Amino acid sequence: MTQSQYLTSLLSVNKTFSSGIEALNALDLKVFQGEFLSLVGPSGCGKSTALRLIAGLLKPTAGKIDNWAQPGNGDVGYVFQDPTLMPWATVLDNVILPLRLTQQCYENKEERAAAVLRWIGLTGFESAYPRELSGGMRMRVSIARALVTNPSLVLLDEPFASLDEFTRSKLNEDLLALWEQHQWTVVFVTHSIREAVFLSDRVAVLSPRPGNLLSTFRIPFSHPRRGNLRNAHEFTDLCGEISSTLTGGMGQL
Amino acid sequence: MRVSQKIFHMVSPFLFGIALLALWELAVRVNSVPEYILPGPRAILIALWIDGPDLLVGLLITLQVTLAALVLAAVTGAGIAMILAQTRLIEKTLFPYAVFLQVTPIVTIAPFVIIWVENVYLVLLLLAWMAAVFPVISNTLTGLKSADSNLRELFQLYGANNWEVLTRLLVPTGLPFFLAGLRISGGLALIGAVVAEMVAGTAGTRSGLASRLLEASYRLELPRAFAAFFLLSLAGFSIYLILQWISHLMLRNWHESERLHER
Repeated sequence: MTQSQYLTSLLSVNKTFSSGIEALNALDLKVFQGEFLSLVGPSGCGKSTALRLIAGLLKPTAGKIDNWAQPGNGDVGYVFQDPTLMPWATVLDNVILPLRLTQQCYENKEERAAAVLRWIGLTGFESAYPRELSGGMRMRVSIARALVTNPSLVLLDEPFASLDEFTRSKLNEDLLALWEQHQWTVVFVTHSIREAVFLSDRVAVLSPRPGNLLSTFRIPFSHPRRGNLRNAHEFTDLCGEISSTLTGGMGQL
Repeated sequence: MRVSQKIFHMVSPFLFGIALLALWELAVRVNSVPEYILPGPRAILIALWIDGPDLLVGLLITLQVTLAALVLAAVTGAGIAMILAQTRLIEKTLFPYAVFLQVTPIVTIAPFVIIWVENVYLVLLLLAWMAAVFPVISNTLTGLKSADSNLRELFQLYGANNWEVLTRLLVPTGLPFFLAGLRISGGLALIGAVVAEMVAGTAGTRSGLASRLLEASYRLELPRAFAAFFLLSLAGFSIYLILQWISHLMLRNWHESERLHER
C-alpha cells in the first residue's frame, strides 16, 4: 500500500478547547484505504478528540484534515463508548436511523437493517427495546447502526471498555471476522494494547496530552485471525514492545 | 405477592375511607350537629341522590372548561417550551415571564380579565389555562434539553436537519417530562376552572359546579355544597388517573419509570 492511497490524513493538527485544554499538538496521522488502525495511548491523550476530528464533529484549531470519506451522507460510521441507542425505539428502528437521516437509496430499509443485524448475530431481536438487552448486545446494535450505511470509514471510540473480559473477546473476534469479509477502513480507539494488536493492521501510539504520534507498529499476523492468536509468543512479545513504547512516552513527562 | 395480599392492598384505601365516613356520621349524630353547620355522610348522600342530575349538569360545564384548558395548556405549553429550547438567549429572556404567569395568583388577575374579555366562557378558559400551563412549559423545557449529547452528535454525523433533530430526538426525549408536567397540570386546570367560576360568578342554568357549590353554601344548603365538593374531588382524581393511564400507554415499552421492579 502506498502513501497516496490514504483515505484520511491529519497534518500537524492541533486542537485546543475553549477551556484552554490542549488535547492534540501537531498530530500527523494517515489512515490508509481498507486498513484496521488502532489508536492507543494514556487516558486523556486526545484519542477520542482525534476520532471526533476525523468524523467532522469537531473542527481543528490548527492544521489540516483531508478526508475522502465525507461525514453527513453516511460514509462515516461512528461507535461511541456507550451504546448510545434511542431507548424509545426498537433495535430495528435504531439501526434504520442512519438510513432515514441520510436518505440512502436502499430499496427496503428494513431489509438492509435486518441483514446487518444478521451479520452481527442479533436476528430475532429486531423488535426488542434497548433496555431488554444485555450490555454486549446493546453494543452490537450500536455497531450494526454504524455499519448499516455501508460506510467507507468506521470509527470506534473504546466501544468495549465497559464490557466484561469474556464478552469483549467475543465481540473482538466477531468484529474482526466482519471486517475480514467487508474490509471497511477502521479507526479503533482503545486502552487495551492486547485488543489493539489482536484487531489491527497498524497500531498508532500517542503520547500523553497534548497528544501526538509517538510511533506506529505494523502488526504482521495474517488473516483470518482466531482467538488463540492471543496465546502466541509473537503476539505477547509485540504487546510488550508497544507497552514499553507507551510507558517510555509517559516517562518523558 | 400472594393474591389475597394483592386484593387487600387494593381494597385497603376504600376500607379506610369507609371507616372515616362512619366515624364522621357517628360524631355528627352523637353531638347532634345541625345540617347547616356540618352534615353527615348520610345527608350528603341524600343530597347527592336528589340534586345529582342538577349537579352533574354543573360538573359537565366545569369539566368542559377544565378539559379545554388542559388541551390548550398541553399544546401551547409544549409549543412555548420548543421556542424557549431554541437558544439560551430566548430561554433567559422569556422564561422569567412564564414564572411570573405561574406565581401570580389567578384570583388577582381575574378581575382584569373579566373587564377585558366579555365572553364568560372565554374568561374561565383563560384563567384555567393560566393556572395549568406552567408545569407543561417547565417540564417540557427540561425534557427537550435532556437529549443525550452523543445521540446529538450521531444526528449531526448523519447530517440531520433541525426538524429531524426535533422530531426524532428532542420530542421523544422530552415526552416523559411533558407527560409528567401534564399530570400536574390536570389538577391545576380543575382548580383554575373552579376558582375562575367562583370569581367570575357564572349564574343560571349554564353555571358550573363551583358556582352551584358557592350558591348552595350561601343558602346554607350544606349537604348540597358537600355533594358538589365530593363530585369535584372525584373529577380531579379521575383526571389524574386518566392522565396516568395515558402516560403508561405511551411510555410502557421503553421508559424507566414504567419498568416493573421485580423483588
